[in-house]
Amino acid sequence: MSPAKEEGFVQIARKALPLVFRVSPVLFVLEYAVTVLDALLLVLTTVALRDFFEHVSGLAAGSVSFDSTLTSLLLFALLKVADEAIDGVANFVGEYYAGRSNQAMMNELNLKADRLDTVVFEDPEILNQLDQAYRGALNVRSLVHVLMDIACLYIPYFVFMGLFLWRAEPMLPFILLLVFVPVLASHFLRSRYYTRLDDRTVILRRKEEHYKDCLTARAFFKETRALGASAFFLSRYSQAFKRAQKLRYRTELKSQGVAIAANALTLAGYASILGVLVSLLLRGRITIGSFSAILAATLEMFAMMTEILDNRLGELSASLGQIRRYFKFLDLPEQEYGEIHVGGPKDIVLEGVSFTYPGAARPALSGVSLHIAAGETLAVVGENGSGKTTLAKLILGLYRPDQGRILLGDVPLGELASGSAYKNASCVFQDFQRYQLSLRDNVAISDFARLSASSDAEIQGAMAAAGFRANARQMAQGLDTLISKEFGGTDLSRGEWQRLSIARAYYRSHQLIVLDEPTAAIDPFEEDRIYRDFMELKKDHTAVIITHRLGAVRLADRVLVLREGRMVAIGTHDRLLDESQYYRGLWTAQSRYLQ
Amino acid sequence: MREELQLGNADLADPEIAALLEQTGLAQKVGSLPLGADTPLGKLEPGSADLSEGQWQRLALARSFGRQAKLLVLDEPAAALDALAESRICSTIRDIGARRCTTTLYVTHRLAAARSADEIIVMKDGRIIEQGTHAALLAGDSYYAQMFNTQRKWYLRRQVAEA
Repeated sequence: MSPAKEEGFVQIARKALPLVFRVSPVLFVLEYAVTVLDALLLVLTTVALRDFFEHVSGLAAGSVSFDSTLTSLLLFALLKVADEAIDGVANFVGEYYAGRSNQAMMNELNLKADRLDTVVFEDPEILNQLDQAYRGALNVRSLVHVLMDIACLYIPYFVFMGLFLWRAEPMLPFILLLVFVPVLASHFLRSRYYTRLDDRTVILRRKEEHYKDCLTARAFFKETRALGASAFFLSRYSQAFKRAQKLRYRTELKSQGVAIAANALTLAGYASILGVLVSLLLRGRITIGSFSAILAATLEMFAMMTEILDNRLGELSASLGQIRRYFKFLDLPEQEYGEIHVGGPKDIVLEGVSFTYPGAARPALSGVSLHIAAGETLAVVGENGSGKTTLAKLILGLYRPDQGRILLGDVPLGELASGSAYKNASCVFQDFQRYQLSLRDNVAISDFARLSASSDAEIQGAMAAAGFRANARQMAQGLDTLISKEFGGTDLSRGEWQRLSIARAYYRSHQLIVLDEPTAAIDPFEEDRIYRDFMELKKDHTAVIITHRLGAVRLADRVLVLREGRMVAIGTHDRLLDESQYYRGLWTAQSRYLQ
Repeated sequence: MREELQLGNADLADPEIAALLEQTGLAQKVGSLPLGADTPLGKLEPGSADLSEGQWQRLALARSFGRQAKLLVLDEPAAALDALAESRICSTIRDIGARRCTTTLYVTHRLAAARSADEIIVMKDGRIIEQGTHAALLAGDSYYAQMFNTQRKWYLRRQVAEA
């Protein structure tokens, strides 16, 4: 969508080639060695066929023996069979290689996405690029494969066939070239149409995907039905679909127009070659045997040409845009981090921290300065949208401040490898994830490196501390029970899922723990127990608790009050009740119903 | 936001939409968006604005109020709401109930909200174990009373909750 610095075909090819080659250099060399052999056999078959035709016309004229004609036929047949066999081997190796390459390209993309700053995923533009890149990943190998086949099979074949034709009549290869160039040019033109199409349809595709989820995904469809909104989403879905279809239709129309013009040229070239051949035959410049052989070779050559130009380059030109986005995504800037290790509990210091989400009109947080002592428990309260969750994500190192800085001890968070920023931290998010995994993995996923060394008792300990009580139904297979409705396992209630997410946070070794509204779905008895256990377990850890349930705030050493992205007060609960009118208002709003 | 609300009731007109956003405390947020109630939400297209978890929940509430239905089922509707918003929502629900004769089924772990209900049903292991008004349930040694007191303990003024 920024047409300014689009990469050219050559640049893309230069990036794709080493990437695909590295998947398995040995197999790569083998595949294309076989391809060269294939080209050689194709050429030899053509020569053998001409030889056979010469023999047959000689035999008819009585100048050649039957035996030598039979030998030339056998030779042709043998070469043909060998060629088919080699072709089969090349295809087999190619299919296998394609599978492995696609997997490797996907892996590369996923790793890249993982290395990017969390905040870029807030940008719809990046999400579009990622969607295109995922499609591009599956075509990188096709690009390299087509190029390698052109180099190893089609070029040698056409050069030889050009010579073969040139010997019969010097004009013939030039007619062939005249056909070739415009068809090639037409594909470059078509690839530009398709790139533009994909850039314009990617949003529609993501919308289609979302509306489809609204209609049928398990997380959505109950509410959609209760609202009676199926018709609404259905119409949205078909709207997006129709708009994309219209764009596709227009592109296809233009693209096919170009293709028809190119094909007309091909046909004209074919007719000219035929005309030249017939005239050569009539003027006695070539024998009837040569005529037949050249005719057969020309037929095959045009078949080969259609194969490479129309089918394979045609497919490639449709996906070139997505391949370009794939490499563009891989080139997205990553933050450079030093390798600093933070051992032991550290103070967390925020100095004038401001943060604005990409594309947002106003900052989510501005000018927050704060010192959280190692081992302190800090509660963060404030109205919806006041910046509490954003603050948590900044402290965890998931986002980077636009202004100001965050220090862990005396090391700025920005200088830490993102891995080591998270290494000492654990968290329960407000919108915790429901991983469709076994009970064990659902807990241990927070510290997977530790899983092999840790006992079941350790995992069960984290679950007990989080108040996850497994009843008979859920635990049919103990920790191996699959927690997933989608994949045929058992499902949990929202409250049980939330407890599981707390267990996950406990299991991870940490010095800082952030709880973002951890008990919203949990009943009063359990909530009471969870908070008490939490205070007992946390020992010398630093904790940040974000909650709207102000009762729990009393556990904290200090309370931070946020309002519209700014700090309005910080201090102990008791002091704030005396000194902050705003905090008193929040407290009273909740506590008066419980007096 | 307009579409989010019309999803529940296609006939909502501008003044009603403004009133719903006002009722759920979203009016200020709408005012800050570049295209007001027509700003696309989420992350589907460029120029969208995303909401916080609590603001999404407010929007869901506004949508349910906008349905103008006779039965309102709210399942933990204030889980992500701040104290002020929750208190405001509770009075809105009572207000709607009185004006439109709407029955509300309010599922919650927050007993402060349960208190304002006409009747409270306490469930355990798939069964109804207690039923009655807040005052009646609190009078005896009920399961409800235990729950209420557990929660209340956290809110006693100037007294750190003891185990």
